[in-house]
Amino acid sequence: MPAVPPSVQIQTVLYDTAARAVDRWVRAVARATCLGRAGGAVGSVRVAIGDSSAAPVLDATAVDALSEAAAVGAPGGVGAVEYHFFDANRGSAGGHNALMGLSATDLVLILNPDTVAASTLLERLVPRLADLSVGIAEARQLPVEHPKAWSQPDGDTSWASGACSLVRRSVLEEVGGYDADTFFLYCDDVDLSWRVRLAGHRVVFEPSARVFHDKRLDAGGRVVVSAAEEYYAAEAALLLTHKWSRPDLTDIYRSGILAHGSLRERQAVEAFDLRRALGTLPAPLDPEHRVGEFHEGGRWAVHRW
Amino acid sequence: MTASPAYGPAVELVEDHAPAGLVVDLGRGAGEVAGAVTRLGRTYVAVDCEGSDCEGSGCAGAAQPGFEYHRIEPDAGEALPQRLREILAGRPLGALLALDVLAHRDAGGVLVRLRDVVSQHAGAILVVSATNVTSVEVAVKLLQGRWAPAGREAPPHRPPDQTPNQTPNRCAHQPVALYCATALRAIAARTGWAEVAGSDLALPPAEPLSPADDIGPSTPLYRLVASVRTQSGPHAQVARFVRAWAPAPPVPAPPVPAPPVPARTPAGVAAVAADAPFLSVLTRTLGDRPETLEDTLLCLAAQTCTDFEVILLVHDAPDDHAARVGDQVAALPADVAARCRILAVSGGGRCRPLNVGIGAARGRYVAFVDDDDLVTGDWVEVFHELSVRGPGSVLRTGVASQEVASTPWPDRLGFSPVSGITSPFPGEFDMLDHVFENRSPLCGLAFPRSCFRHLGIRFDESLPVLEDWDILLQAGAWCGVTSGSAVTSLYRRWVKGGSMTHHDDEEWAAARGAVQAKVDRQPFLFPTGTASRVQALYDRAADAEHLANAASYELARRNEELAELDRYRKDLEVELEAYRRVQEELRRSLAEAEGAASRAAGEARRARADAERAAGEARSAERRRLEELHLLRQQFVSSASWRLTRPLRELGGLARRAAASRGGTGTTDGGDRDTTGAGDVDCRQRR
Repeated sequence: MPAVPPSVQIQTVLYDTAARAVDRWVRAVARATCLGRAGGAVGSVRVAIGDSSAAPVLDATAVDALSEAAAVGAPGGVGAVEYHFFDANRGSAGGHNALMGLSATDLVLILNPDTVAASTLLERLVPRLADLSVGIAEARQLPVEHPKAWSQPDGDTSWASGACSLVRRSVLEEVGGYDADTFFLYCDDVDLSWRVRLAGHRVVFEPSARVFHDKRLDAGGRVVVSAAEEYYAAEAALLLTHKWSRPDLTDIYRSGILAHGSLRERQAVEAFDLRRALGTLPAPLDPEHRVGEFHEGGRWAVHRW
Repeated sequence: MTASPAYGPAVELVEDHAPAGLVVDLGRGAGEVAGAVTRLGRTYVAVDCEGSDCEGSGCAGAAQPGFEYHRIEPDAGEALPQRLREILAGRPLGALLALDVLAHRDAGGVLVRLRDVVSQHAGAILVVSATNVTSVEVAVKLLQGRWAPAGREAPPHRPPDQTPNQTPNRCAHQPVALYCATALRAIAARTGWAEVAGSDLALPPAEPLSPADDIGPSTPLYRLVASVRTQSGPHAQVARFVRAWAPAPPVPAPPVPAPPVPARTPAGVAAVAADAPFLSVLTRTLGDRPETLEDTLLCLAAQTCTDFEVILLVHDAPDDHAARVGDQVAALPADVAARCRILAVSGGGRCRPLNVGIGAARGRYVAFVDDDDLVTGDWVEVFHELSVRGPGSVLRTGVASQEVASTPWPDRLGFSPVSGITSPFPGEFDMLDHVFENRSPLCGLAFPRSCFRHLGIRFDESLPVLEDWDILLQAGAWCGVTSGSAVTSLYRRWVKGGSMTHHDDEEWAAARGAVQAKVDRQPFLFPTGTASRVQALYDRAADAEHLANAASYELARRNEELAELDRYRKDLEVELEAYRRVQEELRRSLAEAEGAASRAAGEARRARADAERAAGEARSAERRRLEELHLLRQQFVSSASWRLTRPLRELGGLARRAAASRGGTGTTDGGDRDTTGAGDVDCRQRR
């Protein structure tokens, strides 16, 4: 560990998130901060919440209450909880980019609002970035663990989920943060991870660092997916294959969706076609395919099962 | 006049616990009591304080010959202690028998007054009795819409020397005391008495109360009620409580409990959770899986409904492991840690900590999560919703499964899933299915605490496995099951590593047999709709039987065909064998013929060779002979005689030619040809 523990900004972007869930989120990160500071893993910690909802999720009283809860959970560890109502839906990528620009902390912990950080999250995750070759360290999600593979014992992995990733600020600045112009909700984390790796940094998975990601399961044990998720996942798949120089896969996905996809997915294809017609698609990267991975079933990494 | 049926146990209590002194019977002065007390070497004093309630009924007490007898007016009230002191007249009191006092309209007041008297005599006891309103007998009668507790219609226990025609015909106006054990303890405490001993009167064993028109002990209904009551408490078979009390400081009655709080939505339940949470979550751990336990605790910390407590049952863990569990709980957010308790449990098998936890649980429902289970954020919330749908029933949610294995993490030994999430358990609960096998993991169940607290259900600690199946069958049969299909928990199945206790097939089979035997031992309550399910199963079985019959018929037909084919095959085999024999014979004959031919050919070849050799020899001999002849001829023609005779031979030749030119040949036998070669010489000479 460095002589001076790194400073961290913990941030999330709300979208019609229930106030109780925000309260749960803040209490958890406050507790993680408390233990992280006590163990010397982190120095100063600030908490920033962005809100992409149409109307503010939190009022001033609620924000004060959150600040108080954070102060109780981590005495002296977390200052006032910052709340920024964007008054526009910036999506996940745009919202996080905006929040990143609000501070100059050494590290940025990106969290989904429907997560609950383990108390040990920071003390387990931050040390992974003591290795300067590491650009992003990702925590293990519960109760549904992501199946993407990671190397043992170093934990190198194809990409890090934006549900809970700790990113070195210098790396973020080097690659320009999330590509918010291209990705709205999904695959922004895959794209960021690959650009970080393309820049020569490692992306690692730390299984002992935990975060609860509030996914729900249907009667068959499958993760319940909303209609919006269906749309943005399809759009993101098209954009990702295009941006990472796999036009062949773009065509395959596109024709597959048009032949067998749902209404939402076909709408995503229409949006993609429109971008292509307008010339607003991003310039392709990694033509030699050094970083981008595309596997059967729309997977961006080898899966463990 | 007869005594209370409780008199026998009462006298036993006097014998065992009363100091020397008078035995004063505030009863009816029954002769049996008097005699029994006297046989103990004690002085019996009868005090008849009944009267007005029974006036005109002929059951008023009466003096027993040879015993001291007093009568106290029924409305003595506050004067009762004084009247008793007058009767005692300074003599020491050993015991006061007040077997019917608890039925008094002012039982509490009477008990307080009696305490004034008894407390003045060191060690003296009060013996009371009361009908147990919680007995199986009462329960069965109430089920029939009848009400006649023991001692009302007939004595529950007949003394050995009492024949049926001596059954006492007690007065219908006789007061009946109705108490459960708790109420008995409460009135004792409130009026300043402490229990010294008890000698309760049992129900008669397996004797029909009234065979003609009662629900008898052998009926399924009676047996069901008996099994429920026996499971739920220790007094199911007690007809009357008979207790000895000694004076003690009175304990104030507890305040009247507040009415139950109506169910609230998850968003509001936290406010009322402090005293009696909706759910108690019991987590057993050996303390040796800190990483999986941290997962479990994180899942619990992330619940959307926070109206629950967590009891961590640290079972037989070394001190350092137990301390580590404490540290993990302390690390949780304060509001979560405040809802956690840690209990150390020693001894017993895997069920022991669960039963300990049940005893410590305060929630209206009790759920179980092992230290490697995962739950979704709505686990408690869904239980709460189900409790509104089916209050008081067992709650069941869907459970998914995932295989995990030990695997190294960057800095420690960890674990990792090795399979996707599957959903092998049915979404809806079916009791009929569950009688055959368990299809509901424990982490998907929540039990109403009443089934533990009031029905006495517990995990069967004799079972090494399948304890969850056993308890679900018990609680589900009596309380019913309300189920939802959403999956809210993830059962981890270890395929490598972990610290699971492994059991062999024999243990599983034995446990399965034990659980099903328990089901068989008593009537089993199936939920409504089971008849239709059974009908459906019966129909399926009938269909299956029909198919089986059809298949059997077809099988028989095919077998017959096979048999026919077999017979044909055997015939063919016989024919084939005959053919084989013929073929063999032919082959042998052919071989012999071939041998003969071969031999003949050989002989022919030899004969031919011999002939050729003979011919060659003949030719050689002929050649030799010709050569000899030639030599002889040469010698002849070279001879002088031949040369001298030459002119003669030339003349002879001319003569033969002349004759030939005249048409005559001379001779036709060619005799003139010179077969010695001489002619040739001639020819050559002519050319």
